[in-house]
Amino acid sequence: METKNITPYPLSPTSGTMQEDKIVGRENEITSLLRLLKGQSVSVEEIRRMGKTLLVQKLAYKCNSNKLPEEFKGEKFKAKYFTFQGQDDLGHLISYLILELKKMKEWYQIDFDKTLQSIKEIINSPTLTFENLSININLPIHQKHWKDIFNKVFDDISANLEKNESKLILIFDELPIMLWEWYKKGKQDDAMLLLNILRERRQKLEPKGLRFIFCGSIGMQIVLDTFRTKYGYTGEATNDMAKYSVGSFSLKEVQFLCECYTLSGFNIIKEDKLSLWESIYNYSNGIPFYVSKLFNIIQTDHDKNITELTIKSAYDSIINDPIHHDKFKQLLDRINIYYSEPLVKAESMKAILDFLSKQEEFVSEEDIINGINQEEVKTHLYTLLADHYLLREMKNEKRHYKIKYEIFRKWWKINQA
Amino acid sequence: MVENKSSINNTLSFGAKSVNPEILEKLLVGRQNTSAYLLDAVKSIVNDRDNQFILVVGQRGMGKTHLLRVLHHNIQDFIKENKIVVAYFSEEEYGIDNYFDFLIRIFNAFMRWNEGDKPYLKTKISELQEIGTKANREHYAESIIEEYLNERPLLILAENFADILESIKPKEQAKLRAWLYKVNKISIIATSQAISKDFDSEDRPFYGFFNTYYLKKLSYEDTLSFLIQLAEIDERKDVVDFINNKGKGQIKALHQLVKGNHRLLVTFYQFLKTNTLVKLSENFIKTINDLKPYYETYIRYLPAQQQKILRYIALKRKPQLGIDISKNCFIDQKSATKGLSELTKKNLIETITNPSNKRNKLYDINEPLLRISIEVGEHREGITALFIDFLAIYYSEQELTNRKENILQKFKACKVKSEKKDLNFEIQAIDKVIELQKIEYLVNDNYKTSELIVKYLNQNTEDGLLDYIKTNGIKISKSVYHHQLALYYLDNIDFDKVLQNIVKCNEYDNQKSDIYTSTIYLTWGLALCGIANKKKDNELFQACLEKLEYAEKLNSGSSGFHMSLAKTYSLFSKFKGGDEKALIKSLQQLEFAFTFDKDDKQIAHMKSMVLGDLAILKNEEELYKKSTESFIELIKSNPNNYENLYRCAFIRSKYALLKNDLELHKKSYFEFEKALELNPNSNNAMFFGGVELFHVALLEKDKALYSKGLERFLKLLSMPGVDRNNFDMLKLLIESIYEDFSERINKNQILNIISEVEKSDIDGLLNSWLITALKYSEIFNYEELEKLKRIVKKKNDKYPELAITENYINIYKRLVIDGEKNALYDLPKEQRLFFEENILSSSNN
Ligand SMILES: Nc1ncnc2c1ncn2[C@@H]1O[C@H](COP(=O)(O)OP(=O)(O)OP(=O)(O)O)[C@@H](O)[C@H]1O
Ligand SMILES: [Mg+2]
Repeated sequence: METKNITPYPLSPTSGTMQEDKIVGRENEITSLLRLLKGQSVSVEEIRRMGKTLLVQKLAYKCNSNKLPEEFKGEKFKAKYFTFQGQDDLGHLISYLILELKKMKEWYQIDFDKTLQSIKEIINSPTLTFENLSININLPIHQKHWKDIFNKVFDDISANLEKNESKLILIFDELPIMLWEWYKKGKQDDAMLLLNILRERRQKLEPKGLRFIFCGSIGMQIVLDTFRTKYGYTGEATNDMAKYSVGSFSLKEVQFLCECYTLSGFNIIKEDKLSLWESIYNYSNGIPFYVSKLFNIIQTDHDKNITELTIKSAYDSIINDPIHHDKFKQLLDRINIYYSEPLVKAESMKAILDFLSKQEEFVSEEDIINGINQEEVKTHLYTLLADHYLLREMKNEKRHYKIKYEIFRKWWKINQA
Repeated sequence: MVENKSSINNTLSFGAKSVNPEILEKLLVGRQNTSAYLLDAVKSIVNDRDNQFILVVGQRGMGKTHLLRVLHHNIQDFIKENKIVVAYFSEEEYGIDNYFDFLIRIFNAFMRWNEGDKPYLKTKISELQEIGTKANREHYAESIIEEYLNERPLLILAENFADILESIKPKEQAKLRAWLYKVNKISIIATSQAISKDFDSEDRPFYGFFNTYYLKKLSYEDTLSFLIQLAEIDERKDVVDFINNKGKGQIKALHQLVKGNHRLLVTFYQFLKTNTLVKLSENFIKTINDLKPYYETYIRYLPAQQQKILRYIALKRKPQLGIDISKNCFIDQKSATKGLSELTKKNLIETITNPSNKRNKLYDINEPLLRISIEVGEHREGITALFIDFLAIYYSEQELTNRKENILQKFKACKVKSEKKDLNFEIQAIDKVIELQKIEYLVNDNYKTSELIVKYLNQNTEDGLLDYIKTNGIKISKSVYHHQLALYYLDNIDFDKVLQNIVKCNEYDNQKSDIYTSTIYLTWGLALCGIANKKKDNELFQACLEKLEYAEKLNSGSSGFHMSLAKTYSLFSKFKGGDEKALIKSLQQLEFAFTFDKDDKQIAHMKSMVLGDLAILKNEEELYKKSTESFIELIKSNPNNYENLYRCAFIRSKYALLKNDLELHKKSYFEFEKALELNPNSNNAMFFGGVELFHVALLEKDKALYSKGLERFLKLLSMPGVDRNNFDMLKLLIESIYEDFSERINKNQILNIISEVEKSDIDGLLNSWLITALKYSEIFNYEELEKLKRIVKKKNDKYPELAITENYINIYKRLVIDGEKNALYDLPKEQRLFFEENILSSSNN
């Protein structure tokens, strides 16, 4: 693959946004994703900070700048990244989408101006407030209208795709969390409507070359389950999409990332670089977020000197020092936020993690059930598995589980169990 | 919430806008690294197109504003060269309510720092005002900024960023984050007093997004050079000299006191300058009063439990263990832990990891100012405790007395009322300090007193002791006198006397300091423990624990209390014949003790012992290993210590017995032998070493070892402190040798033993040994039998049951020596059976 020969470049250990051409690694993931995308849409799920956004951004960047591997040349992939965070409701979302799509005018020679105008008119209709009640007159009066506009835009694009025998990937980052926020604000109707529209569009337009990537830190499953139980939602919103979960970096990728970070001004004194990178790889379990945090700590606490000792010390403080708990707190938060109805569920899930955090190897389902005194352990194990907390393995035809990343296990054991 | 609105020390105040950046740079003491870090970050934006998100976290007065100002100053060249656009939010800007406000703030910052672009930006803003709906306005504002940036990256510098996020709410934060992704060349370097939910909750947009940087407290060297810099800027050569020379020690004290808080240092700098207390206390109190409302609101919005915890730690004035906090605040441990971690996150308390026990963390108030504010709130004293502390550390006793004299004179001469008031204040303060220091003297004199007591009581009785002490020039209160006496008796294991004296102590003393009272309770508890142990009395044990726990509560500043508790628990377990709970408690106390000195050998020794006891009690391999391994460590570090070797061997021997393990018995035996080399007079090591020898012999069926064991116990007979166990061991040996090798004990040896038995006069022993002798010895002759009979006669009155035994001897003589077969039938049936079974079974063949 081409990147193998790329030389490292200076990169600061940060954890926010990043220039797309500087994103490290992920070549294999991009290849696998594109192979899936040849035939269908994909839903990318992984807990927060694991590198979803950078992965899909790099994918988009490579598609649009003609840097894809040979095998995809025929597909004529193009991609567009959207982040759905902060979109208040369906109206705003659609206007945002169309505004952004407009920027791709030169790709498809489609004039979105008219559509945009009618959308503006709808959005601009006022919202009334009355006795703490916020009454939005956009919906449902204009519901049909929305659908029409939306459909029209995508129809136009897809017709174009078909004509050019090319594929367009629309990346919807943070879609699930947006739906979740809508639901929390009582806008579940918007949410369910959007899901239905999206599904309908996918089924109709995928054959013409339109693809979607849904990307988010909470699984679509959580959202859908909630809609099902609370509102009797019956749609099969995503069951035709491939699921893809983002893993950690390979040793090679970690090495490359470390080289880049080092170029931003770190010192290596005497020690064997490769073994340093290997330590970092081992401590971080290859998760780039933690690699960047280790470097950040070495930067601020150890004068940018990378040695076995400073690496170890940075790791120790990440695991032990309360000021670094924020880097793991999501493990606990997720359970409390998404699985606390009923409360015992959250408690059992925590008990399972307590138990597993003390085990270094895979443990059989039976032993877990015996080890903790809780109900419905099997179900919760499955939920934890689906939510990326656990790994599962079959041994002697029996299910065995373990906490997915050692660094999570350690943190949980020391700070929670 | 604005940093330092009312400037405390005019020019030197960090909040002041007017201070020239060069001076600020000079005052960057202890923050050079941080400053370089931030500058590097900006360089990476400019040179490498990286986006930076840094949150600098530090309490009030730690110099955050200062840092940002210096950073802004340092990057001016980049700005001028159009390599970066900086939006430096003014701190006075309030009311960022939503995302749109935030964008407007960026506009304002552009306008403030770039006069040239003002007209352009102004027209843009008026265009903005035309736009109707919120969403469109936001969008338009975004696009104006993007346009203004053109190719350049944007850096936002903002203070109190946590507050900003808090007021714009998660929903709008999401918009901000989306914009950061969209533009992808925006960086934020911000400060905050603490991190909040918005940075560390999974469901908040900025979860894990920032690199948080916690400002460190000033070190002593930093403090020193910071004060020197202040004095230099102030052109006070004299103060510089003072700091460099005579003042060093005092500044060390100062540094500990203010925990390296910049702003408090500025306050104390005023004191260095004027050297009058009144000014100092004025400034001090002013600082506190300026800050108090801030802290009060801060505390008010905390959940009640957290308030409680915070208050408790603040008033304790030293780091507290999590368990104590939960106990004393009446909060269950789980909630307390949660509260503590929340408070840590808010940067209000500091977690001190206990290197020897990671799970038992200590917690302290992070900000001296916060502590003082709480104290002021609780005590309503004008003169705050920290201020008094400061004086106590800063001046020696002599200096204080001199100072007081001086001021008293001034006070008398003074006519101006307001001045008089100030002077009076100072006198009061000094009095308090002197009072505080008294406790220290008490402790000093105690050494001498106890020396005298020992000296005197070695030759005399208690009468006249008090006078003797007094004539030696020691002023001593009755209470202290009795306490010292109690300590003496404790040393001499006369617990009843200890108690008598403790009672007197309590009688005499009315106003005791916590520290003093705690030592009394400690003594009391230990005496009770001694008695409880002797009398094997459960209730006394409980009373003892009560005293010790109370002592520890009063003064958690020493490991001794925990050691005593640990000891008591372990004795209690022993008394109960093994009590798991007590042993675990003992271990807990030892962990606490370790928090004072993790390398303390004595604690380590005790811990190994208790672990061992627990291992035996629970028959648990892992514990056993832990125990012996930690003994081995101790032995390694001090190979000549008898106690470690002996205890290790002891635990091992018990475990060996549990497991019936030959190798362990051997190991234990060798350890006892080594211990014996170190202390040849130890009959304990001798005895238990012999027991191990016996076990090895038994398992290996080794005759030579049996003999060796026999010799050892015979030898022990001549050593002081022989007890029943020794005789029992001998008996066991004799029986085993007979059973395994059909070999009988030498007549002289057993006669020797019997005469020792007679001497020891242990109840019931003689009778059983006579039987043993008849059964296992080589065959006695007349003479020897007569000797035995003489012994019986001597003891007949005391032990009437010997009459039967005497009869046995007679039958033995007739049956075994004279060969009179019918002799047996002179015995009643049950005695006949006994004789056949216990004496004859071996002696005839
Ligand atoms: N491919 C990569 N190259 C360099 N750094 C990476 C990469 N992937 C992840 N990181 C590091 O991890 C951080 C988080 O990555 P990213 O923003 O992609 O995570 P995310 O899964 O989208 O998180 P969230 O759910 O919070 O949106 C990055 O800021 C960076 O520090
Ligand atoms: Mg993301």
